[in-house]
Amino acid sequence: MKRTGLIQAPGRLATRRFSRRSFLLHCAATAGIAGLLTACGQAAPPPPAPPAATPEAARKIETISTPAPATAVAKPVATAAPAAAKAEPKGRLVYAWHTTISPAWLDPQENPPQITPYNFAYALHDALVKHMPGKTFAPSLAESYEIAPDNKSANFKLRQGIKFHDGQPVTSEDVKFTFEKYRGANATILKEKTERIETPDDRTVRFLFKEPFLDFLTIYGSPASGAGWIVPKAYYEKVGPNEFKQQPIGAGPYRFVRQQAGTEIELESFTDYWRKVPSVKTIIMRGVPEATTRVALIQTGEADVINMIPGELLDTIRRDPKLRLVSLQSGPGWLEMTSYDRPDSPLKDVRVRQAVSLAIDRKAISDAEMGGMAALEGNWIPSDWPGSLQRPTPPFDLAKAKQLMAEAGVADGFDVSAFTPLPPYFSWAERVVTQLRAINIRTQINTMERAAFYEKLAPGPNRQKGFIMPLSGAPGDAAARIRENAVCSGAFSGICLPEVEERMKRYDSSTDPQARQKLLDEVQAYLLDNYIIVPIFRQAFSHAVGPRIANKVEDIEGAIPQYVYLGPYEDVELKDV
Amino acid sequence: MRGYVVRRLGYSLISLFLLSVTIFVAVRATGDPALLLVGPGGRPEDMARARVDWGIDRSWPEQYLSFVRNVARGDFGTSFQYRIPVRDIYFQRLPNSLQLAAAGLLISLLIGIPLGILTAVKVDTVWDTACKIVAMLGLSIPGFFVGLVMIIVFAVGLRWLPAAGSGTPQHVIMPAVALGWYFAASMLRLTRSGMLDVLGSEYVKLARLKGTPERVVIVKHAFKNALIPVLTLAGVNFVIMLNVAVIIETIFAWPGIGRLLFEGISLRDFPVVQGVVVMAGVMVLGVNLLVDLLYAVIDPRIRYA
Repeated sequence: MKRTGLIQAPGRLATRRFSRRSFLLHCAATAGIAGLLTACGQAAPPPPAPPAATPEAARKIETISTPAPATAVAKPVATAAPAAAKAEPKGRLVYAWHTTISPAWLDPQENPPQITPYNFAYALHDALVKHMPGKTFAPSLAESYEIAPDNKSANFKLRQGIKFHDGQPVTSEDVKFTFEKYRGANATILKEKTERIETPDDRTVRFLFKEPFLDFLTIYGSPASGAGWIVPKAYYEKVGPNEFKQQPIGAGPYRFVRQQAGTEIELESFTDYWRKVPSVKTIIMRGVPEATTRVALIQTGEADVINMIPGELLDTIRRDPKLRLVSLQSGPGWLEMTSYDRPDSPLKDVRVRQAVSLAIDRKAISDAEMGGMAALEGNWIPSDWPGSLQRPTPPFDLAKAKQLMAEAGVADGFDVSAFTPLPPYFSWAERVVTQLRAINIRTQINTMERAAFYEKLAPGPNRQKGFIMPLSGAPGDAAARIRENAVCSGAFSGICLPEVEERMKRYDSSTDPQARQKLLDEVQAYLLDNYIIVPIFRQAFSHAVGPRIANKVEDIEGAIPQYVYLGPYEDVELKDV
Repeated sequence: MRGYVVRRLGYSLISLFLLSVTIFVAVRATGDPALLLVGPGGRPEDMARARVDWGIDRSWPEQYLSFVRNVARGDFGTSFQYRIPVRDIYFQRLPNSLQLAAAGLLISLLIGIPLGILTAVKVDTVWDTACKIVAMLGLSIPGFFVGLVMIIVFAVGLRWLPAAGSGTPQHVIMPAVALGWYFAASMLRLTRSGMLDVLGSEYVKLARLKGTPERVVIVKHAFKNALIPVLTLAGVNFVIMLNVAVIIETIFAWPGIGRLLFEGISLRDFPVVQGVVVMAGVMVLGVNLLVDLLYAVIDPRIRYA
């Protein structure tokens, strides 16, 4: 208010020697010069010029194959360390990320139930056993391992001469420390079932379980947990968890150089890595949240790999002959009708729930949202996961849907309070809501931020009502997904049914792999046949690979089971460096 | 004068107090950050431990007092997500934001002021109409759209400029234009109205009657007086550009404070949001206080009002 009054009478001060305007003029001039100096003061090398075009057809990887569950492992598994290629690492790879890069992801001790942090684990750290191209539960820091036939113990033998980035050897004490201090995804089940860990020598680790632990390797040796990714005990204890996230040390193919919290991380090849000397010297991981910008970066050669291309930008990549498009099948999305068990709800009737499924044109949504590359699977548990029940694509049949609505006495439809999708999948939700109007089910999108959504998924009276559309890229197996989404105590479950509870209790107490699989199949069939969970499709997670990458794209994108990103990093090669 | 200064300082402190309470309550109203600290599906006992570890298990008044005590010592706490002091992240990103805001301000001044003078001098001509259209476009076309169009044209199409990132003078150009675009339009309009007021005043008429050349009338007599409100606005705009260039910084992957604020909000990182907002508030209040005091120095009527 006061400033406005002054602005209205500018001319009255013209005769003063030190006037407002002279002062402000000086300030403006100083600011301008400072701005120019700041803008011009930091000369850095220009972005690398894009190399010559390498025409190659865009490719599509529909699924990632995953071999049988780990419970089958009962005899020693071993791999020899490959002869280390001693070529000098060269070149700089820029990897544009679709998210803010959280320093918390640099510490596998706190891995959340998400696949994203494993990008950093695969670069900086190494695990006793991990998924590798063409092989699940591949021995890594461990040269061999053995699960006892009674599933009550597991022995691991570490490789000779393996080191952390600070030059310290990786020992069994580091393995023990890592397991005991681990507090990320699935920490509870791992610790509840483990009696103790023995370390008879520097290279031998023995896990002893309280009872047969058939899922041990499935959890410990896969992205279902970060407990198997070894951190250096001495360094971790010295600096503590927070400092470790700022300056992590691991035993992976790349060592940490620097980070600008949230926006950029620089890594450098670790030439003592046991598997091979990485080919690329420097990897820059840069957070670029805007998809159009990421696409521009790869078009101009400023980035070599970009993550997550939305449907509307796929054609831009396809049209560019220099670029290679990769579409990997990621997390599935599904529909939950929360009032299916409420006596006064029309959704109590299984025919109405079936009509909802029949009214969803999954192919149309995939075409519009993901360039037609989504896998239209008939289960909310990915088809390539251990224990998943294979089901055909749910049909789209509007006539039958309307008929079922009429048979259920709700031909005129009804209102549902809200349709709440996982952020940011609002446009998917809009399409489903629009399609449901065809059978007179009227609802509206309810938007909320991600954390609030997860809060609203927790079981209890405050759980979100109406339709919910979750999507989960968290890795695991069928049993883990059922425990999470479909049992009374599940972290995100609105389902509490005796038909499921009783079978999952029998599953947990059984040691017979065939009986366990049968129980899992029955649970999945029950939930799907009764339309309690209605699968929509698996998200097509599309990336683009630039012309400087020398590898065949299938060797480095989606090559690792259950992992829909670039890797193994040490296998990536650049042209013309 | 002393009373005036004390009053203004008092108002500033009250504003800062109200701002700190507002932001303190607002971030907590978004929900419990424990879920994000532990991760989706975290056990209740882990979430309880996280609340204790991060001091968010205490009552709001206790948390607020602790927050104020720490802020007074220059400590904004430790970021929930980045696990480092907010002060460190803030000052890591501040130079980038200063660079962007200074360049954006410069662009807004270079576009807004000359066009504002032109449109006032050539009032009701085709120049005036053209500049009015520019001003209208500036105010109505969002900066993010301008930014995306520039990326497509100048980075992808012509390959003149890098598409995103920071580190070289070339990296600053597109985000600065996208940021300065809107502010240039407001500068243009303010300069035009200021110039029109001044050009119609008695002393300008007198200068013309005395036969002073038109160029001198415009530059020396009119423009200097019309510039005062424009530069006052520029100071405020600079603080705004510095702190809330959220969308521009996101589009251009510019590691500045606006993006930090956005990340803090989306991740319920209370210390980051509080730190950034309080620092922005301190800057706005500081600039306002400075301007008020300078006006009082210059114009005695103000301090006695």
